[in-house]
Amino acid sequence: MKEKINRERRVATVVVVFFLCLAVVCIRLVIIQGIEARRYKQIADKQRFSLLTVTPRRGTIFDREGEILAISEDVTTIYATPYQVKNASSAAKKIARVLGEDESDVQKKLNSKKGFCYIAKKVDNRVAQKIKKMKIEGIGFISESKRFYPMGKVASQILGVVDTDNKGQTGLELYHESLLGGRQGQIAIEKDASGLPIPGSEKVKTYPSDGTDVTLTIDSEIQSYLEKSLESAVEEYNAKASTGFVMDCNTGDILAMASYPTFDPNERDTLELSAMRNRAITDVFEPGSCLKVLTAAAALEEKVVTPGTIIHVPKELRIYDKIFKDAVPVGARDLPFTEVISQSSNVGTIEVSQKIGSERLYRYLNLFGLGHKTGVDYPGEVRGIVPACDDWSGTSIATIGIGQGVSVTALQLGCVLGAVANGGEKVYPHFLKARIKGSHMEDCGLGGLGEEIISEKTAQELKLILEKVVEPGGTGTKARIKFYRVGGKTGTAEKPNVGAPGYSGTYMATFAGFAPVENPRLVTVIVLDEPCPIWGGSTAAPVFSEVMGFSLQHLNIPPSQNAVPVQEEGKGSLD
Amino acid sequence: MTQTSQARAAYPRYTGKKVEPRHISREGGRAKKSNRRTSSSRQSMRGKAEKSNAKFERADANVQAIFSKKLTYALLIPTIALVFFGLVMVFSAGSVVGMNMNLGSYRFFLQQLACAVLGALLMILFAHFDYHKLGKLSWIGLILSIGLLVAVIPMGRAAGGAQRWIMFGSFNLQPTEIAKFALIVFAAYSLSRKGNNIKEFIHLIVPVILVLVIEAILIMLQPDMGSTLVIAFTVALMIFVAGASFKHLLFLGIAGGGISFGLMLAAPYRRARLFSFIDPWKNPKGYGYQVIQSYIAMGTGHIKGLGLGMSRQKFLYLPNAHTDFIFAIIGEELGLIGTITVVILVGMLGYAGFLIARKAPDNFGRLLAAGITGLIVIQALVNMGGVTGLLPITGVPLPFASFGGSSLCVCMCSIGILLNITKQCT
Repeated sequence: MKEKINRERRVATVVVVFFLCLAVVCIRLVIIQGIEARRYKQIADKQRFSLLTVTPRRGTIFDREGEILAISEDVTTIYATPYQVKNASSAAKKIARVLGEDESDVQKKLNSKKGFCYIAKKVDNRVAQKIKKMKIEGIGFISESKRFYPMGKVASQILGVVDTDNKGQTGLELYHESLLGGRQGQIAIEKDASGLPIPGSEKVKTYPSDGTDVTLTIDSEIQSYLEKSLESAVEEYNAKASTGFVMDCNTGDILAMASYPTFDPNERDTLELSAMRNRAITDVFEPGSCLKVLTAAAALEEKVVTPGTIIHVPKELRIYDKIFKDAVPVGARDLPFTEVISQSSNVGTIEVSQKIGSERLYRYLNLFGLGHKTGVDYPGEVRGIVPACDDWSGTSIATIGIGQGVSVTALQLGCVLGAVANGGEKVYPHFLKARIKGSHMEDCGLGGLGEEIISEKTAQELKLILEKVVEPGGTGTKARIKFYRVGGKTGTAEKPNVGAPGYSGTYMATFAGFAPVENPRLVTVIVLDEPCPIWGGSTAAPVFSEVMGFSLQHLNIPPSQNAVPVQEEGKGSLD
Repeated sequence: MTQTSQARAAYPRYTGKKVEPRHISREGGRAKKSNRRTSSSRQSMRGKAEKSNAKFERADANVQAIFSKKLTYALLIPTIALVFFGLVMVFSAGSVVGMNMNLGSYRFFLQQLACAVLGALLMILFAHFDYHKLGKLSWIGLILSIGLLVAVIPMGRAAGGAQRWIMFGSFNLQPTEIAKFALIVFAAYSLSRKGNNIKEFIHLIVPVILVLVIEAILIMLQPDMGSTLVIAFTVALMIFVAGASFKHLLFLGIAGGGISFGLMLAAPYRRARLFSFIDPWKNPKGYGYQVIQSYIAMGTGHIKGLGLGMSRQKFLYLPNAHTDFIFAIIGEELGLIGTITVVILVGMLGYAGFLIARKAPDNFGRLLAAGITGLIVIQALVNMGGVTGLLPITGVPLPFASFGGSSLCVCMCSIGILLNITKQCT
């Protein structure tokens, strides 16, 4: 009996111990699920939630003829979650074979201790598909888009590049980011432990909207011709660099713009900053004789001179402490104003600019847009330097009149020429032609012509003066083009020292011109940095001739009726 | 006259009369035979029993019927509820695991469902199978299960770092589950025949402790520390209930504790688990990972849970989400309400089981009921303790709920046996 009670007690003891254990479990549950719940929830959210950005398709960039300049391709980035890869060596072998990479490199990545590593970024979808089919555990794929420039180097400086997130970094890609980039979408997802999204957990926070396709004013054929010409000019004249552009002087459309050295935006690993500069917009130089176009325009418009006015040109001219001479000094002579310009006489031009006076000259500098941005749709445009009229010294009227002591961009110079060529209206250059909305184009309304700077009569007179520049006896005979009447101005300017006063003894050679003279359509500016020989008339002018000739023909511009056939060049003319 | 002897006296099969309470089926008759053979002490009571009158017998039988009915419900409700819980959770957690193993999302659920059906059939079978016969058969079960344990060592299928399964076609058998069960039945049978000899140490050792040690060694070869501890605790509980002296229990406890502590430190992964138990936050990405992910699951569930099927931790964060950590997923999807419900169900089951042990008609029934109940609740406690960080993680499934056919079927057989004992209760 005692035994029986004892046994019953023992069962009862077991029950009591059992319930005590259950009570402990319950208390623990209350602690975890009640008191500490918030803390665990936070950890859970941290390890699980992530915001996924959906990159919109970036807009395609076309040239004016519909050729693709930049397009976004769908590519795949391959990554690994190393600890999930079961057999690293065999996986590495398979992957490396498809990617054409070194097996040991891949294996090193797969063996790393990290929870995530890239195997290959932005791989062609077909290649990625091959790896996908292998179904290797721990290998993941991200769909991405990659910017591709089908024409390679063509217009590379204009277009610029995008960064790895497909955001514009330089050039038009940067300037028109808001248009091309579209809007990123955001999706909140919950990931599983391997980093893959949990099905059904996606919540769209913002929908992405694709970038807009755009058409540029660029003509890719003229563009590539210009680039080749600039490259061969640099080689031929042993120049440091070159830049140039072709612009429609009646609309401000930039048909081509290039600089050498240049780069291929598809080869992102070897980008060099100096090669990425669009020098025609971002670099300034002293225009030298080219600016005589502006001085002449001011003089004619202000009726200080007429093309026929005879100007006495002494051998040299002393203004305060400075003596001015012509580039190739000759004795004192009397020249009509036309020849002062066509022979690019410094002394003669200074005499004219003194007659204009500093205030009026300064006004024309401003009117033609020097010292101001042209407003071209390109990032990093510089305004150049035009000293304020009040700061001018006694010699300023002389130096500025012949293009010294001011700095301009090639584009500003082209706009001066353009205004003269189109009959006196200010030119606003631009790259963006139209947005493509569905099947139709929507003009962006950028650029075009602006206010009248000089009268049409003045412009007409000046055009004929500038035509004389390329005619025998002028400085720019090498700029002539078969079947077309050409006008323009040479320039050879000594480069100022960088960061120090004075000049460096090296030269920038320039030719800025337009054609056809009777009904100007195009303006082209060619600038060579430190060519040999130094003269714009012998280095930049031939490049101008090539580029302008090609452009005119390419655009089917009718030849001038009374064009003088180009004769074999004699001795090279000087500035 | 004590309650027990009174009831035993009232038990119809001792009267020789035709009065048979309607709920007692033919097993009663079968039990009589085995009882006579196994228990000599009962023979002496028989005389007293025959003196009782029929009226008293009938009234007593009614009381017993009500009592038995209540116990039956107390057993069946938590069993069915837990199986149901398990099925839902295996469906939820197993779908993700299944997808990830390229088995399809329904694979685990359907397998578990099939096992639940099989288990239910086995439960009914055992409920109608006189438990006294199990005692005799326990030798065969024991030898068979030891054979399986030996077989699993070379031919077992590796999973989770241990050799625990034997493949029969597409069906995986986990011999440990059968061995646990066979050992409990054998221990109950063996201990029930010791009588007062139980007080002697040698009778404790031979054969029960010896068999336990053999099985423990075989199970540790897989290795499966969790199951080893579970059978050790269960046998300890049975010895305690059988009436072993405290001195012997203390000695065995110290010896067992020392050995298991040594084993725990011997294997690096077990050591890591021990450390993770002490301070999981020290290495949340390493050995502390599983416990912390389990906390996160239950913490996220908070009071009400995320809702059925809404578990996030099952997405590969929580390893073994559908097996050993199903309790954490219950916590995540059904919150504190769900986990406490499970605890209450386990409590109900345990209480009913131990009550059956107390009311069992004989010593064998008592020890069998205690052992079976002990096996189930100890597994439940070890599992819940591991998931909640109260105990080290040992890989013991939550009875009825965790995915695993062998465990589910054996547990349901156990309930069948308990039901049979209930029918014969006093």
